[in-house]
Amino acid sequence: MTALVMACVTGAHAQTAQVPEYEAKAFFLFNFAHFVTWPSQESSHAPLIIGILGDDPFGSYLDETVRGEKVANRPLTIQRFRQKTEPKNCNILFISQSERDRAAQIISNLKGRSVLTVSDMDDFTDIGGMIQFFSERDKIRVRINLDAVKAGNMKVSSKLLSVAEVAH
Amino acid sequence: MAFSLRNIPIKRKLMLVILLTSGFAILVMGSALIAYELGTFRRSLTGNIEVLAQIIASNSTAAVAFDDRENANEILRALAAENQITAAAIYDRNGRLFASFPEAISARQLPPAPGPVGHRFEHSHLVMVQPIFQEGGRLGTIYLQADLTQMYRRLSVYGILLLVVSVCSFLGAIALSAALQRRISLPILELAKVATAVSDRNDYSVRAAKHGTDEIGYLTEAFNQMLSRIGESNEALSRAKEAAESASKEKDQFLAILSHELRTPLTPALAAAAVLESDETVPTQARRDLAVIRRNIEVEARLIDDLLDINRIVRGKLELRRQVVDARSLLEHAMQNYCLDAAEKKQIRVSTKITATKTHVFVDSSRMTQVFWNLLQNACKFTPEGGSIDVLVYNAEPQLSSPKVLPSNGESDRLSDLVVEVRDTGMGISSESLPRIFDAFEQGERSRGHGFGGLGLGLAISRAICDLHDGSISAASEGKDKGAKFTVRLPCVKPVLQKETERGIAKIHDALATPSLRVLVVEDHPDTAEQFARLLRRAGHEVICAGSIKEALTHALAKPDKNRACMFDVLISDLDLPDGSGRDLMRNLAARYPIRGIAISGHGMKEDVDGSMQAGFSYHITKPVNWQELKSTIEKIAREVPQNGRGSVEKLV
Repeated sequence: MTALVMACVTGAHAQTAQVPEYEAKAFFLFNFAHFVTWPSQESSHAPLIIGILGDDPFGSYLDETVRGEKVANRPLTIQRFRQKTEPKNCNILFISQSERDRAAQIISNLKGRSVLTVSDMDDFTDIGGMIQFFSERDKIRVRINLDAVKAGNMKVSSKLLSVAEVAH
Repeated sequence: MAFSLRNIPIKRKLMLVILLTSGFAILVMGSALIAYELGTFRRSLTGNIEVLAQIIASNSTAAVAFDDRENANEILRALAAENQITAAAIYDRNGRLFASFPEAISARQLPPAPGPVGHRFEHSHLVMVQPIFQEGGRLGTIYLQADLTQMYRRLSVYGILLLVVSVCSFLGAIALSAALQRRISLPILELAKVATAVSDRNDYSVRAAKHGTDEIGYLTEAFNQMLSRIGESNEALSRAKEAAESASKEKDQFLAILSHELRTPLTPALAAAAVLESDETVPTQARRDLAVIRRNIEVEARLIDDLLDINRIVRGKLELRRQVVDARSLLEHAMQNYCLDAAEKKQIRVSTKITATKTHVFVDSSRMTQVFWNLLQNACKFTPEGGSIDVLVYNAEPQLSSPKVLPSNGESDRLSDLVVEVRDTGMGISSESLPRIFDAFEQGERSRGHGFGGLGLGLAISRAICDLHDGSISAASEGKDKGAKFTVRLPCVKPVLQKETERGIAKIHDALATPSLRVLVVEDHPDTAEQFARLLRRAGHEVICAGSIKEALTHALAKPDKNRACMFDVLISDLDLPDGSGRDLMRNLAARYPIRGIAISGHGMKEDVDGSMQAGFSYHITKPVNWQELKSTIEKIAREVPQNGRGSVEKLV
């Protein structure tokens, strides 16, 4: 009985609940860099930029997650934006809930650019967003709009697709 | 094993060598094979598990990256197809357990942290730890645990296979070596068989069969060569031995004949000298010269007698006529006849001290007398003038073994031995020559022989006689010029009452005058015949001589006087007569009337004596005839022929 309780306490599922939502999302955001291929990425040694548009919900989590990390020999940098037109040079752009009203505008501004748009707002993929976080049975999951990603000339690893939900 | 290896047969040795070498080879080969197999198996297993781990790692990157445990578990479940994987786990980048396989496994059965990257063998498991990388970034760690029992099972199958192969090759080696060892051990065994046959049957003509030209073939050849060499030398040896033996026999025969021929003329010469010497009518000076002649002839006769005796001893043909006698009488006889005169001449004092109470021995009287005489004569010879000789006769604790031959009507008295000691004050015997003194032709030191005469045979003959009588003879001396002591030891026997009585009767008869006998002497040697006649006539008997059987019969069958039943009381006959054997004469006469006979012969073997007894002779005297012996024999017959015997015969007529 005691062993069973112990197993549950130290078990894999029990730990998840203790991880704050945005810490997990920061980790996911960082991991996208691993599973998405940007065009002409091979020749580039420039830092890989993760942009946050609008209010930053991550606090220090994201900075801590990417600190010292490299993806395909590219260091990671985090840039925070206020203006909707600014973040065109990002590789990954997280659009905060605060920008919900401007989201469709922002997405259309970035059309044709290889910027992976990510958000946790509802129906993000429906309005042309590329990756959306959503909750399912207390777990954070990922939904991917493959057409949008392809339109941005990026490739998503099939491994990522195996754990993600693909929007149509 | 080492202690018995020496003694096991060569065929076993060969088998053992083959088995040990093949066994060792199989063992080394098998061990190498198993070691190689183990290494290969481990390498391939490690490689397989590593690839598997890499595939899982690659597949599970997204699951780890996006915290999809279900996906991770699902990936791990694919391992169910790999039945050697007993446990698998994925750890996240912080080293915390993320997913595990199989589902039923509890976290406690897995390590809390994956440990260092790489593989390691733990107990019966292979543990493989691989990182999960995506685009150069490490996302987590994969942990795989592979069961090694399968590998061990496979190895044990290998081991069993190896064992079976070993046993099979062992059996094969045994069969092969059994077949092959025969080629080596059989020729050796055959060789040994031949060698045994040779030593058992002394047959050097057999040869071992050669099987080839190897070492054993060489040995066989050498063995055969050796056999033929031995055979040859054996043959040569036996030929040489035969030649030597026949030469020796011839020499012995020649010596016997020579001695005999030398001795024969001495008998009449001796008798003549004795008669003349005791003839009162012969002048005193001449009689003294005659004594010199007689003594020298006696010495000569004894030398030849000794030679004859030693010849008999060498040929083992010294025959004994044993009877129970009182040793004192023999000793007395020896002293009276041979010693006292000589001693007196050298002014040697002779004393006899008899303390023995048991004095009867079972001996050949004349031979034992000869022993005593030899000792006394030696004592006289080697004792300087004015010295002394002591003769001691006493009983002692028995040291001798019981006599092998016992008197037919007596019994031995093993309570004591009779010891006769002869001590002199002569030149003694040095300790160096003491051990050789009883050897033939040995006379102490050679220097001692100078001036003493003799062939040095006396003691050798004495020892042979004592040995034949189950007695012993020994010599002792404290050194040069300290005198010598000779000791004869004989087993005592109980006196035979009958003989004792006879002796008593004889004594009584001694007191009476010896009756006169009529004696027929048949001897073809006229001088000898004449001497016998003269001696017998001097003893008071009537004598008629004959030179042949024919002549003897003429005398014997002549008509006797009126008051006589027959012509003669005693026949003294030589056995070798010109016209036949004295035995035939004896048989002839004995069949006609009671007549006692004394045979005179040059041969004294038992069969000679027996032959004479069978022919009817009462006595058999061997040449050279000792006058004393003949005289006492005649006296004995005179006593035995009953005075009334002639009367009874008279009545018959």
